[in-house]
Amino acid sequence: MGALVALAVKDLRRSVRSLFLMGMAFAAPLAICAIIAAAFAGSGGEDFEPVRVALVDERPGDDETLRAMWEDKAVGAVLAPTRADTLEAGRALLEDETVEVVVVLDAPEGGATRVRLYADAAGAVRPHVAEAVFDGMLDVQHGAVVVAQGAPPQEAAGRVAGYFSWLSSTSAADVRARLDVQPPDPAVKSRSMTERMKARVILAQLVFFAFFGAAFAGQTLLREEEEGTWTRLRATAQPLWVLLAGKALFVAVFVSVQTVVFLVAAPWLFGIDVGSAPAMGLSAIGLVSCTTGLGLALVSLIRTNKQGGPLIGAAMPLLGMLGGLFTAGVANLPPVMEVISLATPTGWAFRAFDLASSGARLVAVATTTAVCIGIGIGLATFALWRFRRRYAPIAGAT
Amino acid sequence: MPAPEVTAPAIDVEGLVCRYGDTTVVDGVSFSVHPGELVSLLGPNGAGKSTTISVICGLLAPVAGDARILGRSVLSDPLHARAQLGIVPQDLALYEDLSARENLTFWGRMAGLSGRRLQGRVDDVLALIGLADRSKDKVDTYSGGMKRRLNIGAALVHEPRVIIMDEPTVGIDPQSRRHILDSVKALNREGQAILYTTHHMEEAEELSDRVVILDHGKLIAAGTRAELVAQIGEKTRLRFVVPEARDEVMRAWDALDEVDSVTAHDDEVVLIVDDADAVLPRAFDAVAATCARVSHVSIEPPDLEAVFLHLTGRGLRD
Ligand SMILES: Nc1ncnc2c1ncn2[C@@H]1O[C@H](COP(=O)(O)OP(=O)(O)OP(=O)(O)O)[C@@H](O)[C@H]1O
Ligand SMILES: [Mg+2]
Repeated sequence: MGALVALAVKDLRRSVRSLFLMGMAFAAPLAICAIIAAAFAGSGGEDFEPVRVALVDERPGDDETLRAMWEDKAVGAVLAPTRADTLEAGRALLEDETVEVVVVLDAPEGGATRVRLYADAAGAVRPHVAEAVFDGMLDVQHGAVVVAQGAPPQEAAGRVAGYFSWLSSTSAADVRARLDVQPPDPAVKSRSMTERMKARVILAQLVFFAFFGAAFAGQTLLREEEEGTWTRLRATAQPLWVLLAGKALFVAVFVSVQTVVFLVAAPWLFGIDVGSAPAMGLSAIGLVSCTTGLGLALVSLIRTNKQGGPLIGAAMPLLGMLGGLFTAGVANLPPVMEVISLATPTGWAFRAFDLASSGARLVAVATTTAVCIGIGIGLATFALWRFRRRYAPIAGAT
Repeated sequence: MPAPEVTAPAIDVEGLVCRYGDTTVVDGVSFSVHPGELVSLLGPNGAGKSTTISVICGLLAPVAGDARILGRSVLSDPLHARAQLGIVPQDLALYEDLSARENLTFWGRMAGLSGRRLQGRVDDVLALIGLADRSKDKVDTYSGGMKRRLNIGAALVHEPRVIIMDEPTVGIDPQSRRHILDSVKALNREGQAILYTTHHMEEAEELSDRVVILDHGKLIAAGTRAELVAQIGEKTRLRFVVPEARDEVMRAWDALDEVDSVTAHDDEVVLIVDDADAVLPRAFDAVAATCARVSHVSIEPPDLEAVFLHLTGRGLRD
């Protein structure tokens, strides 16, 4: 037992002194996730700020229905409206950044209403939100006209009122839903699609770098071979299995630390919800099993660090891709991708995190973790078999 | 397993045969090292010294034969056999990104030491190898000689009863070499059995109780220095440095009756003779008869180098 711990502690001590291992295990994944989180931050979410709009209505007469909709609460969640009397006045507001968009309504030659937008940031999303809302409002207005058409005057008002009450029960909610502006309810954790995506993509990075970390940690065995210390270890009175178990323990602890640091840091660094602690704990155990097993298995297939670089450099991205780690943010993947991903250890390890972070039942997470542990044991057994053939010329010494 | 008898040899190698592929690199080697004895394993490059040691350490399975450490077979009882053993590998085997103290502590733990005894032993070894004042520095900041000394120290932490050193002085400065030779002698005085591998015959002469000479995987001689030298009688070596026309004068010397053998390495020519006084004048006559030039002559009494030369017709470092 003492030797086992001493072996792992020695490797951990060396890792801490290796800038490369530390950077690869901790700095790189956190940096990449910071970039991902920043990309997601640009695409809005719960804290969508209403677009500040100045409305210039150049149509003749006073439009009652438009004002009614204009003052509707649903619209208020999306638009923060003011009125401007003329286009010039609206432009002045745009100039001093009081508003982001000026919407001009007119009806050339008394025909259908026309919407024109004036905004600074060409191509940005926010002005188009205003445009969409106005389009919608005008559609509604047009609908009212259609509804009232041909009705006797005493019926028309009733028809329009009914039309509006039907609309308000459907479309207003719809507008909000599409823009992900439902207020968060702390009791029920319903999260927006964007937020789910962000959590998935970031957790996929964790899984990917954990596999990389395990492979690099496992490669310290080859490094020891090159340094001669592995041969020296084999000449001690420790049986081979203790030396191998010591290496496995090191890899497992290395990935565990990597995973725990990530899971603690990610929620407050990137604002993602990683799910309940027990579910995350189970997922982490699954991840550590799979990564340790695969790390050792890969190292058992190679002889030198020179071979190791290309093999691990090729195997890890491939397994990451097949396991769905790089397509975690893609919403509608063909189902065959999921089948493929479950043929890989990366896919299973990620699946546990995906289930855990989406609030799936603990049993589902536990089942996936069990599969991960099975995969880990299988891979480790394969590695052990390879290592015994490589390192045990004398049978009694294993 | 019955406890091995106390009088069992520290190392007992018996009929060892080792092959790499089709090449037999150790061919029926047998020798032993008794408790408290220092035996040198002497042989030129590629003689099979390290291969023999690999078998003793359990790193290589022999084709035939066995080795026993204090009575325990390295084949049937490898872990017990190795527990008695401290091995200094020929190539440095250290963690360069750890300090000397961390290295020694680690190797001590691998041998089952812990706690205060371990720390005490680490301090002792640091003092023995003269690295106490640099013990906290990382090994990659050490000089070659310091690394060599630490490489030895790592084999001593657990106070093994049997120590095997595979060319512990290769490629180091004279000062570190002196330090190492003195530590080896000190260890031997404390009663440790030591198998010391080298291709420097001066080291073997200075250190060892007995010498085992390997060449091309075969044991060609074994015994005390006196026994080995007696094999070649009272013969003396005449060493000439001949910068010009070496081959011409060698033919002339070879033709002399009183000369047993003539061997050459670079511009150095060695004659083995019975009576130096009688041969020297005639040897110089031969030089005068050719266009050779001699820049240095020395007369050397019989030693291990001469033994090796006599047995193989080659110098140790050829
Ligand atoms: N791993 C190996 N594979 C194939 N041949 C080997 C291997 N190791 C050693 N040999 C060969 O076995 C022979 C004996 O080598 P060994 O290392 O035992 O010599 P040595 O006496 O220790 O020499 P040196 O003084 O150079 O260390 C050499 O011819 C060497 O080329
Ligand atoms: Mg050697």
